[in-house]
Amino acid sequence: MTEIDAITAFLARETEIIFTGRPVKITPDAPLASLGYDSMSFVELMIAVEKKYSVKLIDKELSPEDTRSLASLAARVKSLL
Amino acid sequence: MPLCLPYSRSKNYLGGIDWMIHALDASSRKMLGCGTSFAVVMELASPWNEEKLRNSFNHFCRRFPVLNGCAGRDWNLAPYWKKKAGSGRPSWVSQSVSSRADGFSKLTEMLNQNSDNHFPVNVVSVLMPDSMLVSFIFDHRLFDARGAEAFLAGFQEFQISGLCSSEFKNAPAGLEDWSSKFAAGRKVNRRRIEDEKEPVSRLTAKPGQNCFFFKNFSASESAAIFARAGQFSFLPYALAGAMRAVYSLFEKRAESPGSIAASVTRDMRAGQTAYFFNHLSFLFFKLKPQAARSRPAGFAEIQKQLYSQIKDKMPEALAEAGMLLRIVPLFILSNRIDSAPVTFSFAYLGDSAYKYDCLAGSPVMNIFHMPRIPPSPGLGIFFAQHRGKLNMTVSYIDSMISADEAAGIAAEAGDL
Repeated sequence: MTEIDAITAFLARETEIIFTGRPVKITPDAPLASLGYDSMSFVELMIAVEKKYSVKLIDKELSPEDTRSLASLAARVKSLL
Repeated sequence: MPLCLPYSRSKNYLGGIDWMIHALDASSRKMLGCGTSFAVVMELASPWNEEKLRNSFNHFCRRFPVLNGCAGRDWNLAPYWKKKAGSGRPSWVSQSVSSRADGFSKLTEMLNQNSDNHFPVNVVSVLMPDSMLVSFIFDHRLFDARGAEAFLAGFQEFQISGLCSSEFKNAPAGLEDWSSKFAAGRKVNRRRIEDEKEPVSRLTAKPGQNCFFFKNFSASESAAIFARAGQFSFLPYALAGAMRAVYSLFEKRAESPGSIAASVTRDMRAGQTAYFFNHLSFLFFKLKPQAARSRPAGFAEIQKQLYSQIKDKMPEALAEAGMLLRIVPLFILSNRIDSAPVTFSFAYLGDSAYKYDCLAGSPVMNIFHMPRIPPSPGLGIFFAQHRGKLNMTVSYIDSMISADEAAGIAAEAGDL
């Protein structure tokens, strides 16, 4: 498993936790909005990334491409490690 | 051994936030003569068969005995929803107008006349030349915004299949884990003390009528707004605009504004099908004048506050600490809530939980929310989204804010 795959798997697990109880089908390439993310739940995901990887995404410039899917966000996190 | 008081499994106990909503309801009844309610309004492309719908909706409501009830206290002092044997049913009021422009003002007038019926769901509709507005008025003690949308989705499901997927489960009393509740209470209290150090601009509560101001955005306007705000930054973006609009109100009144503070609701439900009671909590945002008067500065500060509150799990702490407040009688709690240092209420509901494209065969063109605002703070700015189209509602009490001032707030907060 590559590092990006591991980060994507971590983000998918966190997404499951954030949306516990909701019928969400999580795939790495699904748009984040279709998974149910909004301003508040996305902040929860950023906090999970900060705790696990010590990367404070809130202070970084995130482009629309970075937040397109879990896979693209994982690539951005990897670039900041 | 940890202390856990016994409770009945056949009773639905109220959570701390439910009890706070009951306190707001009591305060609203005292000052405005009617309780806390909100309307989910659907704009339908064609009129419906009212007689048929009325029977079907009454039949749907009869499936939920919880709709007949009131709050009571159990022997262990925990408040619960006391179901009453009864056959209450929704009231229906319909009127016609000759133009679309008259439709919304007629709807506001009808909501003010029909918002305090005994049954917790009531319907008013306004027939316009090319469409109709159907407003389902929900008692906030029994429904929150998401629950109300899910209830209507359940009704549509019932229309289609005769079935309804949601089942009602009694909530437990929550009379255990006291140390965790007290720790949450301490966290919330520390935050409150910190927040109260600086004065906050507030409107003076006066008796009056609830009024509304709307702004609808087309799909292309909404898409452009979301692009400007950033994909997951609409809430701080819109809140910064609302803060600036409210700051301008105090400036125009030639009052020297202090900080502007807003309470923002957060949906806390784990599943999508919980219809009843309030599954929400609150975040609190406060901007000093220099940040409130500038959208970019306000946006950056709100982002920081949002991050810090979610990281500290403040909404969860407030919901948990609220369980301790249930011991407080409503008249004391409503006075306490009335004096909370908040300038206005704000909510962004996100995409509607009503996913069907029609209701009873009539295409749904738009869905928006019209919450009655409690006498304190007396002003609310609410955003919702239906199929990519944003809606904004400014809800205010006419004795505290004039129609011109509300129009000014709507223009500035809606300048996204």
